[in-house]
Amino acid sequence: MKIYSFLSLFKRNKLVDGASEHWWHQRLTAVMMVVLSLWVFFNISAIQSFEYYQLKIWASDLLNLFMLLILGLSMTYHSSLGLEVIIEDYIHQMSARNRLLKINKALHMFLSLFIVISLIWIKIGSLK
Amino acid sequence: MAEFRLPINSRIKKGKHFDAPNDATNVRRYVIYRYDPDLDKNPRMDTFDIDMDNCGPMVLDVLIKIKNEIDPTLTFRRSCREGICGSCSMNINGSNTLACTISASSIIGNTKIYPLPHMPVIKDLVPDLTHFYEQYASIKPWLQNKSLPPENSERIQSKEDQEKIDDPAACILCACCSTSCPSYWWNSDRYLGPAALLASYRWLVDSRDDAKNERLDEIEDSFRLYRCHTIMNCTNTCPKGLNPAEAIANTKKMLIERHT
Repeated sequence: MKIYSFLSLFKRNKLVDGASEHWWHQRLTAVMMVVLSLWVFFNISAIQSFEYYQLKIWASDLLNLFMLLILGLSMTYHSSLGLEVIIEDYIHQMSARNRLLKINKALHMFLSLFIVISLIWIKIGSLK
Repeated sequence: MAEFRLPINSRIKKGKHFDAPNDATNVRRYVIYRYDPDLDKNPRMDTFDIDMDNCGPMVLDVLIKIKNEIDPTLTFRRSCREGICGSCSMNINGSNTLACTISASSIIGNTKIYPLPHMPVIKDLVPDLTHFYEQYASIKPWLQNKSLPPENSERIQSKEDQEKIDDPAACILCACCSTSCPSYWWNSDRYLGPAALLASYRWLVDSRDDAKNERLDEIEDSFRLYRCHTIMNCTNTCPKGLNPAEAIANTKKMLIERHT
């Protein structure tokens, strides 16, 4: 059985389109979340004390910041894709379905933006 | 929105009770869904106490006995009595299965029999399978090959290639899998369901068929294929022991591989 690694996404000649893309991205972000969550868990566990400033210093490290950013964005993207499926499954009235799909997308875009700004804020705060 | 309660005229009421003969010693109780669209009445559950000493061993035998000896208006489909035709598929004690392959003695307690779930009911245990068969037809379940077969010979397959289609070709279209799938319950108007997708897979892996890409194009849709959420009810309930969920997963892999 062929295993689709994270790297295979970049090897493609063209991105999977449409419905397959949705399915593929859901699986990919799920795997990413497992790996990144474990990475964050073990890294945070290594910090000696869980004080605010200690955690802030940990999070403002460039590698940690990047990993948190990827984790946050894959979480919101995965959540957006999942909710999209739930809405399509259970909301049969087309106008209500389309409205909810748009709200779902907007909320998750806002959430992604919030995560990016928060992490930038942490980094800027650590430079002062 | 999804409806979580049945409409008022579909709610099931208590029906008639038919006692077993007084001298019966081995009695089993069967509670059976009854609905006649010609009568302006709600569906009801009739109770039949059956003397199992004077009845065949399978649930289908019980239904035939009821129809022949107790209530001739009971309606159900049946044909081969040996799990080949798929006609007597129904919901027995919560599982979709074939009445002819389920032994009456294997069921503990009362036996509740309903038609296949989430299908329009024509009468009693007979669901309307028109849409189900249309979906099956939509996957073009026949060999598509533009080249002519060798003269005076059939299209030859290797043993390995034949084995790939052995399981999916064993589907008897009883609709047990599709009607056990919650995703099919909610979106059967657009989702093809496990039976049609298993049939589609049977042709996708057939070495003699050369319309693989066209077939994949047809089903690459967020509803037709991707409404399958790997719930696995289909595999769990299949009375022939087939694995539609695996066939669907393999079809999804084929689609991804096609793009890589």
